[in-house]
Amino acid sequence: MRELKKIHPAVLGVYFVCVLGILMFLNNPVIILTSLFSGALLIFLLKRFELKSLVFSLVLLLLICISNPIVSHKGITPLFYFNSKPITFESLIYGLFFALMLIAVIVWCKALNSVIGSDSFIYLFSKVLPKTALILKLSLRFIPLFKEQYHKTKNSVKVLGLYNGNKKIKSEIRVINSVIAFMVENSIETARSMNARGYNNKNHSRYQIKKFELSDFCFLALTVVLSVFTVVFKKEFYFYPKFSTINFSACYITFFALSIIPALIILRGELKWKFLISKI
Amino acid sequence: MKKTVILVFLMIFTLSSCTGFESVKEYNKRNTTKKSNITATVSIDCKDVIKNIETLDNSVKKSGIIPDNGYFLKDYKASVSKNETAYSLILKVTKSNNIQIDCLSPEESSYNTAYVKSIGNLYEKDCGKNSGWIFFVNGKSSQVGCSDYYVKNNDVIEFTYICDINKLYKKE
Repeated sequence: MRELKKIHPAVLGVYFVCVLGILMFLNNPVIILTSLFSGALLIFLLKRFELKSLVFSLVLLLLICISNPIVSHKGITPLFYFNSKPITFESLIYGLFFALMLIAVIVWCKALNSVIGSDSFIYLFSKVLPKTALILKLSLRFIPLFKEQYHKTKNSVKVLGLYNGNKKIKSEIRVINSVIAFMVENSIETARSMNARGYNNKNHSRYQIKKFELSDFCFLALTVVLSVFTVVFKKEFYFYPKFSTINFSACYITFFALSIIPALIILRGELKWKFLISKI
Repeated sequence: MKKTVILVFLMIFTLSSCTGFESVKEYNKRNTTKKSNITATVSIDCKDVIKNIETLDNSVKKSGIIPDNGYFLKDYKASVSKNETAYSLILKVTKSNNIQIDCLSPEESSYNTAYVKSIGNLYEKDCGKNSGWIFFVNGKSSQVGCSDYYVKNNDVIEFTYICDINKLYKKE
């Protein structure tokens, strides 16, 4: 965990963009499964694994798996007929892999979120796009803050005895009304406080969290080389109208190597820690 | 909570009762042809695809669904019942010859006439964006949609895949 945070955030950003781009645009089942495996491993090592999100992703999987064959009738092997339209095996499998791809993207974005914190995000973009970075950060912060404030307000209203069981909708409107007023006030306050601190001022200097080191350069070079290899040796895979066969290709190995790097870095750090303890 | 669960189950029940599930065998068995004196010749071809094979999408090219001679069905004699449209005829013929067909029925399409999306897994827009299925009656392209054309005795009905619809109209 700490080992990953030592790496320069810009390099990490490039790495995650590479992985997500390859995952989304190659649309190859082997690559989707590989990235899902290594992303899950990474999430597990970062200790961000939640049962709730697992249930959510399973529901998503089921929903897409069912809905895709109803809409798309492409494919050569009909399983059964529904309203005299074929439900095909190909569209079922396409739905499955599309859902798996979405889940993998969610997993990797979660890992990205926990590795590149909001501090390093502001650090990266405050020079180039100061206003956009601030607005993006504010809007990302908005939802959890809204939830928290909603629960607080609801509880206090309940204690006051104003939350009436019979007039549920009216009471709910009262709570939401106050929360929205709070949020508007809060966002103006934040903007003003940032302004008062001289954010987006010409003479405003920014502190440097990290310096670009040799190890960062190595990581960047490895990322670029592996992703370029993957794109060059890519294998097209078609779901419709008939599955194309999966042949062994070098791009699978390079992509596996690319996606396993952060997990390996974390594992190395933890092993080192354990050995140091046992020596003492 | 209970109410919503019951409501969802009711919805699923009504949906499933007005729709039909069939296995592949049942679907193939369901045959509605009645013998009659009226016959028509039906052929389904994609010769234009073989001529312009370079425009064909890679996914279709590799799957090998395009027949070598360019005909999915050649000069098939079909018996036609009274008041049968070209649309219902092609549905019947493809089913009895085990050819996949995907089309929008007149109720589904927004132009009140049927539209054939694919025959034999060859879809519209597989050969560039102007490609698709059209149909000819006795060598002429029809002026009405296939669900509005009533088949007459000894008609020759051809469903043809065209790679560029603009070329066709330029010739005429």
